Amino acid sequence: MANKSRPSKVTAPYRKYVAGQGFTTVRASKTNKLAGASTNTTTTKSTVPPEMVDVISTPQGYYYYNEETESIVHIKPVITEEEMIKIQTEKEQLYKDIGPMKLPFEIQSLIIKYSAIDSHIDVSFALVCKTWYLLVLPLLYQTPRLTSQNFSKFINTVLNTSNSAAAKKNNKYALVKPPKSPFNSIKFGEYVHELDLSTILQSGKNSNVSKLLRRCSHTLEKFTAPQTSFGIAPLISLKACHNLNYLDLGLVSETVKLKDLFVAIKNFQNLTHLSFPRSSVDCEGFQKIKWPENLKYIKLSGGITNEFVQETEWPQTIKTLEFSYCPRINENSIYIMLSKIGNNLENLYFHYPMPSLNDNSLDNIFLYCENLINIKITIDYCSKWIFNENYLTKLHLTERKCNKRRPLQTIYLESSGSLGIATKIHPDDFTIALMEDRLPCLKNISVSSKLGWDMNSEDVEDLVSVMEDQGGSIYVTY
Amino acid sequence: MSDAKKTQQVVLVSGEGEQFSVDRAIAERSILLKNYLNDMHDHAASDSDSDSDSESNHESSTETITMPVPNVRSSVLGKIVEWAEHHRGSTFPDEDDDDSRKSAPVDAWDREFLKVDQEMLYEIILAANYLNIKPLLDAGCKVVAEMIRGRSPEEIRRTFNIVNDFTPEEEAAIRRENEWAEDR
Repeated sequence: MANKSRPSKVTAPYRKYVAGQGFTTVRASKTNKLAGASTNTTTTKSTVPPEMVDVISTPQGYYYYNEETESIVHIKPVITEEEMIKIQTEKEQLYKDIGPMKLPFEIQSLIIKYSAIDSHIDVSFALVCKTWYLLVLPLLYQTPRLTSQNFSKFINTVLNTSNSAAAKKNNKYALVKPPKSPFNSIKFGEYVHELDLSTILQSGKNSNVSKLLRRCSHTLEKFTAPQTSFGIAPLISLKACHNLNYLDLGLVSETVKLKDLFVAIKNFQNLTHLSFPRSSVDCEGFQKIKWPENLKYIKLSGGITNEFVQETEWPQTIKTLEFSYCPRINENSIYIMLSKIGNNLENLYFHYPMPSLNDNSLDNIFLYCENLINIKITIDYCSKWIFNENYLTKLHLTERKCNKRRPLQTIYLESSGSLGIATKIHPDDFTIALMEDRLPCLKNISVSSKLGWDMNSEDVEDLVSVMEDQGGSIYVTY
Repeated sequence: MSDAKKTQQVVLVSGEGEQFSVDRAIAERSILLKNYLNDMHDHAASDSDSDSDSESNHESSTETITMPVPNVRSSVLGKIVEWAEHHRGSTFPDEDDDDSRKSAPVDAWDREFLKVDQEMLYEIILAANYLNIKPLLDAGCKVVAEMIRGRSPEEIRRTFNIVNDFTPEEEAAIRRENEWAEDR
C-alpha cells in the first residue's frame, strides 16, 4: 500500500499547506503577516495573478508560481453571474429539447433488473446517466465473472476506489487531482456477493486476494478460492466475511492448516457449504476445532488423516457428504464417521480415486445410512453384495413409523474403467434387489458406460422393465 | 357471496369517458382496483350488514360498480382489459418472489400482445404500474429490456429521453473502472 510517489512529509513550521495555494513557506518573523495574506487569498473567489509572472497552463487549470510565498497558486476562472445564468439556461434548454422522460426511474430500474441475463449486464448501461450508473453498479458487481485476463483490472477498480478516501488524505500534497468518477465514495466491494476465483491461476497474489476479501467482506456470500495464492493472509481476511454461506477451497493447492481455517470460519452462522482443499491439509490440532453451526454440505478431500476423520465431532447438521480423492482415508475411518452421522445423511458421494479403499470397502454403506436419497458410488470399491439382503436390511423400526421404506431414489454407479472390474456388478443384482422390494423408492439408476453393460441384452431389459413398474428409469452416462 | 362477487360487473371509465364493462374478477387483476373494490364496496356492505340486515349486502353484490380510471386512455385501457380477459385463469409467479418473477420467460401470447409501437408499449407499462398489475408490468419491462440489450448508451438515452449528465471525463473514468467487465 506504500505510495512511493507521495512526497515525503515535511514538518511544520517550515512549510505549511494552504488550501488552494499549495505550500507556503512560513518564516518565523513573517508568520502573522503571511497568515493574514493567505486567508485573504483563499476567501476571495478568484485569484488574479500579479503581472509579470509566467502562467502555467495544464488541463486541470492555470497556475502561477508565487515567488513571495514560494508556492504554486491555482488561478480559478472567473465566472460572472451572467455566465452562470447562461449555463443554467443552456442546461434547461437541453432538458426542454429532449422532453420529459418516457418512463419513470422506478420502471427503468425494473427494466435494468430484467435486462441482466445470468447476472450479466451490459457495461454501456452504466454510461447512460448518473441514475443508471447507480442502478447498474450493484448488478454489475454482484457476481463478477473473472478470468485471468480481467482479474487485475477488477482488482484495480475494487481496491483503488475503496481506497480513494484514504488516497485523498495521503495525496493532499498533490496539487493536481486525477480525473475521477462522478461518485467517489462508491465502494465497489460492497456490491460483490459471489466471488469465483477458480479461473485465477498465476495472476493472483496473496495480498490482492486478501485485500479483495476484505473489501467484499460485508456482503460476500459465495467464495471459491483460487488455485494458488491462497495462503495465510487471505485466510485471515476470510474471518471478516461473516455472511459467507458457501466456501469452496477445493482448488487450493497450498497447504491449509485446518486449525487456522476453523478459527476463521467458526463464527459463520450462515455457512452451509464447505469444500476442503484438494491436496495438502495440515490436520494438526483438530481436536480443538469448532465447527460452524449450520453446515449442511461438506466435501472432504486432500490429505486429511484417519485420526481426523475418526475423532472429530462431526456436526449433526450435515446432510450431504462428499469424498473426493482422500488418499489416506480407509474404510474403517469412513464407517466410524458414518456411525456418528450416517443416519442424518441424505446425499452421499464417493468420487474415484480413493486409494486406501479395497474392492468391497463400501458394501456396508446402506447399513449405516438409512435415510439416503441420492448415492454415488464407484464400482471399484463395492461388490455385487452391496444390494444383498444382509446389507439392504429392513430399516430399524422406530416407535412411530412401523413401515418405513428406504427412501433411496437415485443411484449413480460410476466406474474407473480399470481392467477386471466390469463384471463386479451385474444388472441382475439390481433386478433382484428391486423385485424383492429392497429399494422401494428407487426412481433413477445412472450407470456409467464404462461399466460395460450391454444395453441391448436381456438382463438390462429385465432391469428396465422392473424399474418401469416402479415408475423409474435408467440412464447411461458417458 | 363469492359467486355473486365473481359475476358482479365493474364498469371502468377511461380518461376520455369511454366505458368498459368487465367481470369483477377481471378487474381484480389490478391490485389497485381490487383493494379499492374490497375497501369501498365490501366494507360498506359489511358495515351496513352489521347495522341492519342482509338487504343492503344483497343489493351491493348485484349492482354494477362504476370505477373511473382517469389516468388511462381508452386505447390503453382497452388493451389492458384484453390482456386481463386472456389471462382470466392464468396463475403467475408469487409477487413477493423476485427471483421467479425475474426468471420467468415472457409468455408467447404476451409477446405478441405487446408488439405495438413504442409509445403504446410505454403507456401500457405505465398503466400496469399505476393499476398495479405486476404480471403485465413484468412482461412489458422484459420486452423493453430485450429491446435495449446490446444498445449503446446514446441509443438507450434516446429510447427513454434521458439527459446525459456525465462530463466526458466522468464517462472516461467509468469506462476505465469497468473495463474488466467489458470484453468477454
